[in-house]
Amino acid sequence: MLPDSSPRWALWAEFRPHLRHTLATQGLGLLMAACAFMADYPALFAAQASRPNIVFILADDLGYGDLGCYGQTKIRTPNLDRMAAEGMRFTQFYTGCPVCAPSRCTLMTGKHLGHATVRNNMQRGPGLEGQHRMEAGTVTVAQLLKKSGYATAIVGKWGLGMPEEQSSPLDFGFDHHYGYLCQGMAHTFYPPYLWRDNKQEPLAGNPPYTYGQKGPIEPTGQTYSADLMTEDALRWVRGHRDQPFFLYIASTIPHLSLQVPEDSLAEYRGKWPETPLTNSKHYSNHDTPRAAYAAMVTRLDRDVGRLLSLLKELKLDENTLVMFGSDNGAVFPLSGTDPEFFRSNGPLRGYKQQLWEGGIRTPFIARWPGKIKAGTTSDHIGAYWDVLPTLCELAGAPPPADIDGLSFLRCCSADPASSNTTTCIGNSTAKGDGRPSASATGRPCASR
Amino acid sequence: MREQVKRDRNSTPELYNLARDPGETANVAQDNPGLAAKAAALMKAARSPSSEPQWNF
Repeated sequence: MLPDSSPRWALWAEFRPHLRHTLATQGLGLLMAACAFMADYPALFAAQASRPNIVFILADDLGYGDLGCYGQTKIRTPNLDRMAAEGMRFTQFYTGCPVCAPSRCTLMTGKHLGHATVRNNMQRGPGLEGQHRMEAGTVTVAQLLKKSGYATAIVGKWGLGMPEEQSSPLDFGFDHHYGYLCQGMAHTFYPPYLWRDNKQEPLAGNPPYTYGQKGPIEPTGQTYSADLMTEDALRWVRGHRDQPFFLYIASTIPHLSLQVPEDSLAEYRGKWPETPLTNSKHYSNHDTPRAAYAAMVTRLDRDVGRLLSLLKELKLDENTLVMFGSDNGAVFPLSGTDPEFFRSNGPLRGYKQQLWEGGIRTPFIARWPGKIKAGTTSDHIGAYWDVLPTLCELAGAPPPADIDGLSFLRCCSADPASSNTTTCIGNSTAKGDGRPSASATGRPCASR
Repeated sequence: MREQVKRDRNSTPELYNLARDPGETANVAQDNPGLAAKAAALMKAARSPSSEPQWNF
């Protein structure tokens, strides 16, 4: 029923970046091992030195080419472009998987799909809310950061199980959750309720939603979920300004359905020729689908801008690492999306649900004023299972021994005073096993 | 990359030179049999069984 489970695309085996990573490692191992010993680990990244806050923003089905700083020419993304200009833009960063739930699982657990507990999108049962649970005993980045003293929250889409199966965000290390637990319900931006800390909270004026319902989703309602989630994220940051915090914002933009409030749509309506969508099977119809897609991306960008402004206002700017990426590539033409018109995946081949680059390579931005050199680009090859060890290293929290990821913190640590030849080739100090984490090309990857 | 592994456990790996061919137009596996074999072995080795039967293949 859902495109995520379409047999046309869904069969895949292993994940290429892991392969490339390892092949590169074997070829360059000696050189890199030598570099690792010689590299001076920057004091400013020393574990536990400053206990920085961490905000990880995950977009939903945003393509490699959807942001201005990645070549987008039709959709306005000024805040994310500025975030990149003030930080580091990665050109070869990979999601965990070409579809939602497993990609999020790799992000949470530091394990690639050969080892992850959730390896594909799968509803937990017919007509039931929620996806396949994570196994009991799974260790997440939220648990590790919480244990080391961080306040932890996820605002947005979870997609990794439900409370009755002990697989909610609160079961896996988050102090707070507000948003969707189920990816199915996230197909509407006007749901009848959102979840707050494992309790349903009704949203005023929104239509009902039934799992397995036939026909398209109601196009509008009164309460746009993304706005509420943004407000909740901002409120949570205000409430936790005085302690180290980890905030995972799992936005549901720009995933289908194409739904966006008028104040965002107005900017793009009439800008391009449109074919009204009238026959959507499982999502909502829209009169101006191109304008809607662009407006959604710009609204997400606006929300990122609000968060960055708040960090500045609270004087947390220089003690907060903000990362931004997408869960997988842009979706193939479906229910009004037009990835060819927008060049949503840039020059890359393929879409969401495919192992071509377009399905898995993500825009990825890391910003930390004073710590990450502004305006830099990195060709370091990283993937979402590298996020857990990276954040653990940052927080001084020991990561589990059985993860697959390697910390790329060193790649972000271009010394602002240094030349453009800073190398990030080094061993993973978080794991301490001497395995190199490096660019496949062997080129310096911190700044150019 | 290997596609359709669920249907064919021994499907042939595809290789692309992203530095020269970012759009993945030319499969270079035949020209690099050693690398392709290495990739296939690595892919097989990088899996553990899943408790979900549908994810074991």
